[in-house]
Amino acid sequence: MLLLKTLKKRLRHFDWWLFACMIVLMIIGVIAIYSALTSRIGEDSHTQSEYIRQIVWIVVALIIFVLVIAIPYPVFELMILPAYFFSLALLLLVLTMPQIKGATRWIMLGPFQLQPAEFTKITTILLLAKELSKPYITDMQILIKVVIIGLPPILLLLLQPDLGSAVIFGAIVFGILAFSDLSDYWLILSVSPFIAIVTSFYFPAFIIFMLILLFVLYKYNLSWIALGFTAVINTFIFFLVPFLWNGLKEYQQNRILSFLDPTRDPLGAGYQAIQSRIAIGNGMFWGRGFLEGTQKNLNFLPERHTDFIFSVIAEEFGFVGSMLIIMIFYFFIYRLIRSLKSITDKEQRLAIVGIITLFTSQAVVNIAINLGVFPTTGLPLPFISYGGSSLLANTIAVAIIMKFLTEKSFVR
Amino acid sequence: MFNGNRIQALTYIFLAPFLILVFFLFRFQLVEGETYQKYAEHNSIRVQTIFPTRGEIYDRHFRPIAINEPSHNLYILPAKLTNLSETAKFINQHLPIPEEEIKELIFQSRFRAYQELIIYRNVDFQKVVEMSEQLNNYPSLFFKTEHVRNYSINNHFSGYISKINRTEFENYRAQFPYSGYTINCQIGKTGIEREYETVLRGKPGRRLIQVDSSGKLFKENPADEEKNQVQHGKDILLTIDLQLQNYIESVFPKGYNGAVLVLDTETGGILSYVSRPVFDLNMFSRTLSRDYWDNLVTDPSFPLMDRVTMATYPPASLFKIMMTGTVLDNNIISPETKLAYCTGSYQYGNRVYRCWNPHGHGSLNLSDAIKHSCNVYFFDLSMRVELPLIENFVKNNYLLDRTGIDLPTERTGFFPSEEWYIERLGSKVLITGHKINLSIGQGEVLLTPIEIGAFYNAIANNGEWTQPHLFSRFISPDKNNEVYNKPKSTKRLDITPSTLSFIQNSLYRAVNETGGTGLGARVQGAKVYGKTGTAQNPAGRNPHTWFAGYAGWDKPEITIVVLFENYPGTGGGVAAPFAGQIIKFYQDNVRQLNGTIASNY
Repeated sequence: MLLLKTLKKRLRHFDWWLFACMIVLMIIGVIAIYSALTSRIGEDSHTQSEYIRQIVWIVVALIIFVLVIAIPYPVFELMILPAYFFSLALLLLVLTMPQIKGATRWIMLGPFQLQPAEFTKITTILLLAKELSKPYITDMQILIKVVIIGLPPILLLLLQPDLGSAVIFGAIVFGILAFSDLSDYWLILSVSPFIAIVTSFYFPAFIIFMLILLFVLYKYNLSWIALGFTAVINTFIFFLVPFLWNGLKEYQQNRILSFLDPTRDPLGAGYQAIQSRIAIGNGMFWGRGFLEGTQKNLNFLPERHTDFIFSVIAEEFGFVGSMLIIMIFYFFIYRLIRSLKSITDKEQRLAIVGIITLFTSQAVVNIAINLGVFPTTGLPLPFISYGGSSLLANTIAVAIIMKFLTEKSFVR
Repeated sequence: MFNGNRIQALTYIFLAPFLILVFFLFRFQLVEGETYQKYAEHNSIRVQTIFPTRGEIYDRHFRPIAINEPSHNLYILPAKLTNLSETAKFINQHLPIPEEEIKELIFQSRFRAYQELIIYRNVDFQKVVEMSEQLNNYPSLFFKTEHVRNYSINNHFSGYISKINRTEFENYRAQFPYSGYTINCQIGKTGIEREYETVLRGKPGRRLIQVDSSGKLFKENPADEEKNQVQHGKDILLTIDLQLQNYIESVFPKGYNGAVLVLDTETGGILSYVSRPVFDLNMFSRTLSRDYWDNLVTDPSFPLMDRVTMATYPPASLFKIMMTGTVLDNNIISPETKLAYCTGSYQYGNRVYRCWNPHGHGSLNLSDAIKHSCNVYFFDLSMRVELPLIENFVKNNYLLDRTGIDLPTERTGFFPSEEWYIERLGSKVLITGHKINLSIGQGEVLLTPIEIGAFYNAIANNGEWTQPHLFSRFISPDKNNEVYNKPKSTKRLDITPSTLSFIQNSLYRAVNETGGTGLGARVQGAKVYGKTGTAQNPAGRNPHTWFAGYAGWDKPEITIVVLFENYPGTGGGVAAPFAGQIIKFYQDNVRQLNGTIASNY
């Protein structure tokens, strides 16, 4: 009776909208994977069976969803640090695995492939939230902790190389930093190098960026020493970038270059971007219809059940379908933001901000890659792309927020 | 940092990136949608692979061995397929491929609808004409004129090319990812074709074209032509002398099997490489019929087996030279030592071992025993020498190693060790009886003709052992000589110079002195050395007959190994005269025309 009562009490705070969004995205995913792996030539139609595997993954994910919510909060808190180190260990282990498509991202477990990067994202968010929410923390302590916690996974990801996940990590770290107790000056200072990197390819852009930066800092009434320090750091980066650029592998350079001009290498790095954008454009308003995407059927679309699944949906369901996906994703994010209102614990809030950044950046960057407006780098679309690791990790992330929501009534 | 307003602001901050996506979707799908639709319908970029022409194979004087000839091949483009079963039926009416096979082929490449699939190679011209009349009804079918491999002689060394199989495809793809191996291509399956596969193959080029959705050429895009130039395969010049090869083929006894090997003594380059029986190499590069293949595989004379490098035989009396080396270098007897008086047989225990000459040779010294090929002398000799000493000699003179000839499938010979006998027979006493057999190259010892060739070649070369090889040089596609010095290993035989010259002298006597078994190999004007052999067949069939030796003019120039399988007669009666014929032909034709051959590899 008591158990039932507790459950009832908990379910009152369960965010059904959030849960529904997740389920709807998963269902759309299965449909899209079915379509992506069906190919029609003439009357001949053939479907690969991965969509069944995806359904199995969804069932597993939902079981884990319930389990995560069921773990007592104190136990959950204790698990954060070990989980972080465990996921780092998996990222290390992955480097010893054989290469698949030029990168080592997967750990083979018999017929299953585990992609530790997906889980590391969550453990890092939780540890950052835990550490940065401690009371009386100084700016320096925050920055040091961010470097200690955030840098190892990013470096390990770059070794794989998994540029896409590294970018997501950057976004997450920035998102959490922005809501931590870090003062604005340090926030701006720590973000400015990244903008400096981007602008350093074009000198006038760099000059404009520096002027704006110094102006903003000046407005904050900072000392000349702080201004000078910022200027020196960014100028140093400006000169460092050419060296780093030359350190990139050729195909990585190609990806970035072909982002700027996809027709540069239409068969190599630019091929996917071009073909994917053609598929999306080909969808027009209503789409070609379910299973009717010509780009997909004629095999012009690469990786169409994983990283480029959005273009399959966009080709077959058109603007209507793509807008629907985007709206569901935004509504999903909106519900996450809204949960911040009912949660007062600082650590939990930081974790939620991290997860919001995670979902937003993953969804937006993935769709942007599909649209051909962002460099092509392997990145799944949350809940929709084929693959167990990403599905599990994302479901766990939602479960964690749901856990915060349902437990807030009696913890602390 | 958290208060109500801030959280409110977050909903807008996180809306912004989604709005950017909506902007792009709006632009691509609605504003520019029709353009992209046109792209999708009419306009897609495709890669067209330009396959390289396979390098050709020539003999040392640029006479063709394997060349490319035009061939009409039937292709299908699955994307244009309207009615699969009708098309398959049509093909089946004209060409002998089952409908099921065609359907399977198309199914396998269902995700590559614009990849042209080859259905049949080398269609008869008559059939091409017949079928072309109806091709209007089958838009997916078309003919292409391409090349087919044509072999000027049937032989074992050049090998053949044939369609790649699944495992080969996966291996080559993994090993040479940019060499354009497809599941339709042909690769070298054996011999030189396989050994130098990647060189002969070349590298495919790539052309960018834009095609409409029916696969029709829309526009060529020359943009990246430069970095994807096709590299045709390099031609290969072999050390083979086709004139000599053809001559030997033509005089080889009809209906019999065996091997003939002629080496350029100084370089180890192979002038002639004959293995009988042979099969029709050209059948493989065309569409191989099942019947022909089944016949080849079930033929009791194993035509697919290369008898020069893949078959082992008892060396018979050729092995007496190895015995001689063993006993002289271990100081077991001196060259002048006379052993048991030959009465035509030799008794050990309750067994009688026979000499080939039932009348007996009388009392001989070592050199005479070689000249007459007296078995009894060597039987008696075997009593005085321990088995490990013989084994060491055989090993140290590379007779049990692969010679390293540039062919992919070489076998090695065998010589039994004491342990080997003990393991099988359990007793040491019995070894003596086996040793008697081994002393005349019978029993368990087995060698390949090429191993024997390499050994006798080293004898001719004053102890310098040179790796036999077929490769001479590459010719790049612009027909420029591209000399490529493949390192050929040379090493020295483990024989003292005095023993070596004794052996050479005995080989000379065997061919040139009255009573020598190799008399048949004598050629006027040439200095011929050699040893004959006759390997008895316990099964009562005809023996294997051998001749191994070399011929010189100013100095030793060619080394010859002749082996006839189950041939009526003896080494001296059959193989030696045959070797003599070859030497005569070489002297009168090859040598006269070209001078000494050693100058080119």
